[in-house]
Amino acid sequence: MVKKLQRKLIRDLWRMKMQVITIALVIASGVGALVGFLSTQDSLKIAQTQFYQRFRFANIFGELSRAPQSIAQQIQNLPGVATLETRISKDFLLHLPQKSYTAVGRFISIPTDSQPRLNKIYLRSGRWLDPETTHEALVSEGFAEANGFKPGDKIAAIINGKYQSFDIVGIALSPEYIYAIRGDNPIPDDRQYGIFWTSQKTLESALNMEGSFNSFSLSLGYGNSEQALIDKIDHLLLDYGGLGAYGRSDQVSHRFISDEINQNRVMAVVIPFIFLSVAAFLLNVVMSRIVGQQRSQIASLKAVGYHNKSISLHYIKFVTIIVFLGAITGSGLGAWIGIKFTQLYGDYYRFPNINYTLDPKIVLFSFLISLFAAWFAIFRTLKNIYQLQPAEAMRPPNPPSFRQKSWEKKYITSKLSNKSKMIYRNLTTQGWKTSLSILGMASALMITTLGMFWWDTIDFVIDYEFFQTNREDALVTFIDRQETKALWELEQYPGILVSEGYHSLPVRIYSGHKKVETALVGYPKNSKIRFMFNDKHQRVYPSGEGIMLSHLLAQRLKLKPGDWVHLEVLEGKRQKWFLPVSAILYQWVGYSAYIDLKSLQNLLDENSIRFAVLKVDALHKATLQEKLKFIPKVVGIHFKRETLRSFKETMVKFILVFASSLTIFAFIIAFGVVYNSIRVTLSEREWELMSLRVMGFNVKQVFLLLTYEMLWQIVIALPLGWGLSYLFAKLMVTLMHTEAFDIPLVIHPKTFAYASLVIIISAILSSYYAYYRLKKINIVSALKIRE
Amino acid sequence: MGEVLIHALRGVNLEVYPGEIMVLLGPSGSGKSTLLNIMGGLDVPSSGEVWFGEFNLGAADDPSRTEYRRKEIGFIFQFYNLIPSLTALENVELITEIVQQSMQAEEALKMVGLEERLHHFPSQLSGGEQQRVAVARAIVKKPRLLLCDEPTGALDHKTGRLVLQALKKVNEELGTTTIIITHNAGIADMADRVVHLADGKIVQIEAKQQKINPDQLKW
Repeated sequence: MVKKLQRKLIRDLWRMKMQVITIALVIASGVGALVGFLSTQDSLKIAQTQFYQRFRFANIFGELSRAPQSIAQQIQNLPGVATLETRISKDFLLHLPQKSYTAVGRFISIPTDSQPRLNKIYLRSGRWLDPETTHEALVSEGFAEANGFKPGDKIAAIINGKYQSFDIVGIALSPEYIYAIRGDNPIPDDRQYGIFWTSQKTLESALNMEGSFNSFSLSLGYGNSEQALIDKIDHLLLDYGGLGAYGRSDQVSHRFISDEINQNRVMAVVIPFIFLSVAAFLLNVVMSRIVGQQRSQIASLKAVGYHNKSISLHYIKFVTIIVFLGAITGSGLGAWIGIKFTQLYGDYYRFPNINYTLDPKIVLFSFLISLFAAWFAIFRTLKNIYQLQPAEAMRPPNPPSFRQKSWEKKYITSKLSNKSKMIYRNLTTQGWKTSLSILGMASALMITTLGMFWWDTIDFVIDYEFFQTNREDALVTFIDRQETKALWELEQYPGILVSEGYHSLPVRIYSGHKKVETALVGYPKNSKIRFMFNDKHQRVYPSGEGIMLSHLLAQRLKLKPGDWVHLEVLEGKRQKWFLPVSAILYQWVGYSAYIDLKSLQNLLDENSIRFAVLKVDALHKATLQEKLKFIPKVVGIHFKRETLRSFKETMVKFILVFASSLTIFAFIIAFGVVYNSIRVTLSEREWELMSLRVMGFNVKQVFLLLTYEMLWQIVIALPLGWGLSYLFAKLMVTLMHTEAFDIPLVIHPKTFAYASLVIIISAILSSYYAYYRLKKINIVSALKIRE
Repeated sequence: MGEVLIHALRGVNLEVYPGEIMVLLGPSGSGKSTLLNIMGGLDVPSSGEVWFGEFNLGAADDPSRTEYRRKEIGFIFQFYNLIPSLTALENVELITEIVQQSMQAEEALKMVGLEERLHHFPSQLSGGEQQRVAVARAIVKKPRLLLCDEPTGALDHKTGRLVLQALKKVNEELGTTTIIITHNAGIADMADRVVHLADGKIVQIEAKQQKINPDQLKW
């Protein structure tokens, strides 16, 4: 008996192969996304943990002006400190004569006779530093690759206005710089920023820091409080220009990778959830139709003695096979996505090795999730099987029940032709089915939008950051505080159209028991180059001694305009101020605080600036760049064009992979939903449609009847899809939001239009199929079979 | 297993006269449905000729057969084949929308005695009522040929008679040539001629001298 049912199972699957395939593909998309994102996250996490453990990534980090080694001993003696490593670290401009851009190198001292005890170096190629010489350096892999350096090459840094040449002897990686970015710039640019490890002796003599250090890292003994230790260290370094020690959570490289892992987790939840819901919906529709159509078969089986259990099992097997097909394809797809993303991360995050690992548990998990969704989807259908009486099925089914409310008759149907009435009543009476089908199409639209809206967001951020807010062509950073006349000197160079001087101070801002270390920027009141905006995009000006905070900083410290805060300057005389918050600025990245430049200079009692922003005549750009390098006071020059280019390159790579995979999924889902809904309608109503053909309706008239129904569903699905897209995009950016990184939600009408097009194209393809089928159906045999 | 070619009809030669009621009688598999489908332009014979007046139905393509069904033929099926989403009146009106000359939909429904049930959906009608709607729908376009495939097959005697009465009324009042398929010998008594089929062949054509009114029929 069971064998016969198995044969029926195989035949049913084969007969409905297109539907089986489309549903399996939707499941595959869900499983693919789940497996892809989870395994990428796993691989990233494993690479990170291994690198941290094997190369002893420190727990606490800190910078200061300078302190003698005796202070290091005092830090070492603090309770909780397991290992301490002190060093000298400083940024210098690099001399890259062949390049059109300028680059900055962070020079860090390391022992020449051994590895540092913490943040050990992984030597990718070349050799360790020679203890006998002072002109050798190990270079970070990212920078070396981006600029084509290899061991044996030379590179010069401009230290105190003079070239100092270094021999590159090795290419290296460090757990501290897996993601190498300058503190204030969230965009990594391997071309313009590199890490150079060189001997203690070299940096001591270059910076006159014999016997001193200006940077340290330490590991925390087991069971000790990080915060308590940080407080003690900060207290100890008060007189040595301590900039505030910080834990891993504030270490830039660590924070970015952790955020990335977190964002992957968001993707691994939200996207598969949508996909698998759609798959469950499709299974629900298709299975209830199959069971509806096979009711007399089911009743006959019951009549000859099959149990409810074995009949139900037959249909459970049917969906399980579909899930199985989907899960196998999806796991393959997921592994492919995972490998692609892991490779991308490998270019972006510098690990000694990042291997793609796919834990079988992830595959099992996603299989179980899809199975659960599928079984859930057919629950109602199974109930119908149990309730069906054998005798009932021997009678012809009653015509589906239609009712008309008096208001419907008065306001709607009385104005419609009979064909329109059929369409209207079919859509409204089978409300549950119609809504599900509309929801399915809307979801497909939403998935496309979720893949594509990132482009709009990035465009917006680029425009906002690079063209609305920071309108300069170049940014020149001075080596230290400079008199305002430094700006005047700068202006003497040809090609500078407008220049403005800014100040920047490391400060710690206190609010309640929260505190944040950041830079306080002195900002010219009526700047013509940098514009600050509030959340309503109105320009905001600094006023008096009021400070303006970026909204992320204000959120973290729970501050609003009118509140007063304590500020502590972390350098020089370490003044403490009590200042009002005058405005909240809208900025997408990081914690920034601004104050009127004049007021800051008054508070400091000195007429100084820290950096300058320039508007440059394009014709003079290249020569200006060369000349600026040799001003001894200048430590960094950044032309906006370069920064923008690297921003776009990094973002584009990621979004391209992400968006294109989502768009492929969306196509599959859109086609799966539209095709299945038209397929189900077609076979449910074949009898009715063929009766119309008998009465003299031609293929085109019958086809139009069917497609108008679909058209109406699309007309409702499109705006619903736009709404859902907005909501889920909002959910996604909210979930991805981190303390230091906010993603604005921007979706252009163009994106909605593209996403809608995906649905429309699927509909056209499905309609083509329906037309073909309507033409092919033999009227006589279609009317003979009452199933 | 190889496929076996089966001829549903062989050597059938039949002429149908305007205005007559003809009953096709025979066991299942005798070829009566195939004959009806060919006459209705739903199927084409693999050989031989079929003429409807001057129209060569046997050689017509699909669009001309659709046109033929639309203009000339009324169909009535065993399972009524009504559009469930339309009321009785609307089901009939659906036809008046696609043909040029027709009677009023209400008039057609009145002829089958359903003037009180115009606004009911098929699911709100009994089987006999549904079949009478199907009759009204078939005759509303004043077809020249009414083809009925087991019109009482799913009905009890009493409602079956009501449907047959409606068919007779239409035949008398509109002069519609009516062909009824049945395997029920009792129904044959209302016909002008009875065609007996077996194994795809006409075995006998019987002309009835006296027709019996459907309400007298027994089966």
